[in-house]
Amino acid sequence: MDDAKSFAVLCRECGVAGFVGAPKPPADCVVCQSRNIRSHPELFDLTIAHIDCDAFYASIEKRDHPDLLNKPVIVGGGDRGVVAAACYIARQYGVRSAMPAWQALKRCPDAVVIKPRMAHYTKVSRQIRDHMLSLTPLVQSLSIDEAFLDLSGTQKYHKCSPAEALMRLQKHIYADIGITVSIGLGPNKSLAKMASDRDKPNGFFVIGAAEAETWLAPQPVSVLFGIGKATIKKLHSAGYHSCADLVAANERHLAAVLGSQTRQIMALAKGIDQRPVTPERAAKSVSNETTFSRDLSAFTDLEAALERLCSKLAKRLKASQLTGATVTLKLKRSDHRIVTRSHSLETPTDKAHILFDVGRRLLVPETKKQLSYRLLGIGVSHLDHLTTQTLFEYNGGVDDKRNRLEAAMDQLQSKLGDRIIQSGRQFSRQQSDNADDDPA
Amino acid sequence: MKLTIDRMSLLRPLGHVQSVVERRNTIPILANVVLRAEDGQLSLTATDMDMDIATEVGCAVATSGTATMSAHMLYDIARKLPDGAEVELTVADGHASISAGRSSFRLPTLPVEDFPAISSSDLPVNFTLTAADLRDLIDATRFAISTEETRYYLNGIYFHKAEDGNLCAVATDGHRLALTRQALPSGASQMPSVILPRKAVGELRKLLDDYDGEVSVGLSETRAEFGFGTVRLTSKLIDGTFPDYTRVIPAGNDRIMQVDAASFSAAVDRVSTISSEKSRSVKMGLKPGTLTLSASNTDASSATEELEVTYDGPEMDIGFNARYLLDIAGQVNNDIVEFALADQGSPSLVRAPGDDASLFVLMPMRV
Repeated sequence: MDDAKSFAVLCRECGVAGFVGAPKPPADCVVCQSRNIRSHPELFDLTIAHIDCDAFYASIEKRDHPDLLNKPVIVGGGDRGVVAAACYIARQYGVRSAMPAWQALKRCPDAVVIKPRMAHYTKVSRQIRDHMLSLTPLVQSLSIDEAFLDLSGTQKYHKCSPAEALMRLQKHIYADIGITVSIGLGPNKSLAKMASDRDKPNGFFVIGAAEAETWLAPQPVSVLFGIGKATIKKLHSAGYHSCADLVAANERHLAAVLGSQTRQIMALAKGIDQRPVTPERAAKSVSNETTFSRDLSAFTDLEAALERLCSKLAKRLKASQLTGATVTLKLKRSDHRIVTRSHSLETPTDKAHILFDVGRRLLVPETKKQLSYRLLGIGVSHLDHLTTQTLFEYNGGVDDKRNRLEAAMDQLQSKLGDRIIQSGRQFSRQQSDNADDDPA
Repeated sequence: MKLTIDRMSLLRPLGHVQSVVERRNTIPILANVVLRAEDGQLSLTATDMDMDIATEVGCAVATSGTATMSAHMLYDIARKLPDGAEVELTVADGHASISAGRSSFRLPTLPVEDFPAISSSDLPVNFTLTAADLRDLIDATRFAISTEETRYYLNGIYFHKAEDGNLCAVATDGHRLALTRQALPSGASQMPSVILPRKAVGELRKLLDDYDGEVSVGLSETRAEFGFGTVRLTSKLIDGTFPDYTRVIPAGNDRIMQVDAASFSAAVDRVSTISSEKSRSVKMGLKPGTLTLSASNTDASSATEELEVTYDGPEMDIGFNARYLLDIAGQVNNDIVEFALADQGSPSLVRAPGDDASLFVLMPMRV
């Protein structure tokens, strides 16, 4: 009995959580006997999580195309011909992200290569983010498929520890969205990020504060979150390879290599990381752009594309109840050089007709240069929730009529599809496009 | 060309014409002023292609002739010469020599033939106004001129004959509108409705600063000319349609508040210290006899001030941009400002009580 200790235990199958008194960590759940349990002395105290989606793009493609489930899938190819994501089957053949597609196919000739659908992935990413935000407002996205969460102080609200809340989140995301995520739980960001990498896919890994330094000691310095490639190279060439090397280092010698970062990096190597989880600020700008199937140079062609983009942009602004005060037109020339032109409005707007007016004025001088363009974009910045009505939007003023027309079009299009009503400019272009397609 | 003129006589007309010349010019000759010496007169002309100013001054002409040279340079030279200096200006062999006392300057000239022709098309409508009246028309409206280039038709003052037969000047930027009327001068009954661009308004107003008397006005659909004393200013007009502003002038606003203009301005100014940089909004809370001005900022700072006012309508809150309130309170030429309000989403009418000549319309902000 003297040997009996108390272990914090969480069952990933039945979700039961509690303390078990035993001489050594329990191997299975006392309720459902599942061996899929997590036991850690700090399990119910840790609050910082890193959530990483497993082979994100590939998982979405598999979810959407169940016939691919048991096949190696590579998302990528496209313009630059590199692997954007590889499923776990493809990874068994040695396929890795950022590998050139030809090399990937050499290692795994049977792989199904899928062109990325970024807009779609972004949508799924937002759904996952919404799930995360239901746990805590402190969600810091690192990229489309990973984020930090700070769950301190949520215990009362969720009526359970962060560990339990996270495990439920993992199940909910899988049930609702059909994507597995791996969760790392730790006392800080750096450790949480390392933890999520230890148990993949669909993992749940815990690194506690007490064990951090011992745990880190044999790890290469590259595991530390926030250390870039350049810094790693510098450390290697100065003879520092493991975290233990950093901890044992003479601070002054290390400072010669790391400069002002020295203290912070030494602390990281000991498992100390003071950086807070900072939710990203609200969007600073909203924009839409399109790459043409063939380069365009005529004003009328670009103008028509601009009108479509403005209408899309305005719909997004209205949906998020934002107005923008600065309009920016973006053009990419055939030689890939990017040109941007901006105009600041006296009155911030969310109206397509105003965006189009301004965009067109910005476009005119650019199309007089006899250049052709492969991409056109329009965006607004200096966003605000202010909607200042102008005199002209009032009682039959010049903008009142155009606003009402736009509102009516928005309403029709949202009910019956974008094609139900459109400007004469778009309509006549469609007609001529159809004529182009006509083999006769 | 050779002439002698005293420094002050040269400086004044140069000052008038040089301000129209843009500081940066892609066409070199547009940086120049045209000088023409003839019959004891020196005439000066400068242009920015949209507007030109011509004036003349008496001088001693030894050899008549014409030349163009840098307007800003010549102006700066005249400005820096000592008071009372006698200036001798000689043009020969593609350059001008300017000498006064022991100073001498040499400026390159460009041929007069290269200078853009000053338009002199027919101006079918001609009438005269007093300088004071023209100043009033400009002063009551110019602050509301829009600077939004996409709404080029608002970048000036709209002068026209109103429905009621008055001469009416209007300017608006969509947030506020300023209107003032005067009896139509004789000869103006056929006047076209014109939009005088902001730059011409500014130059004209500057020239009117030191002039009192009659101003002759010539108008066509595309051009306006103002002549007074020895100065003639011609400007292209904005080619656009001024929106039907009468629709936005509220007619039925029946919640009338009267407030002392000076204390109102001071209070708005004080309270707006707090309002956020971006919106500059100030809330006016009205109840019988009292106006409460308040402002707040996202950082939780706030300010309020109470004013005694004449008001017996229902309680209401309405928000405005503080800057617009200050502009308008400053424009109302009266001790008392009157606000006619409808509700917090509709335009408000501001004017001096009983003054039907000038009015201002102000769009509220959501607060």
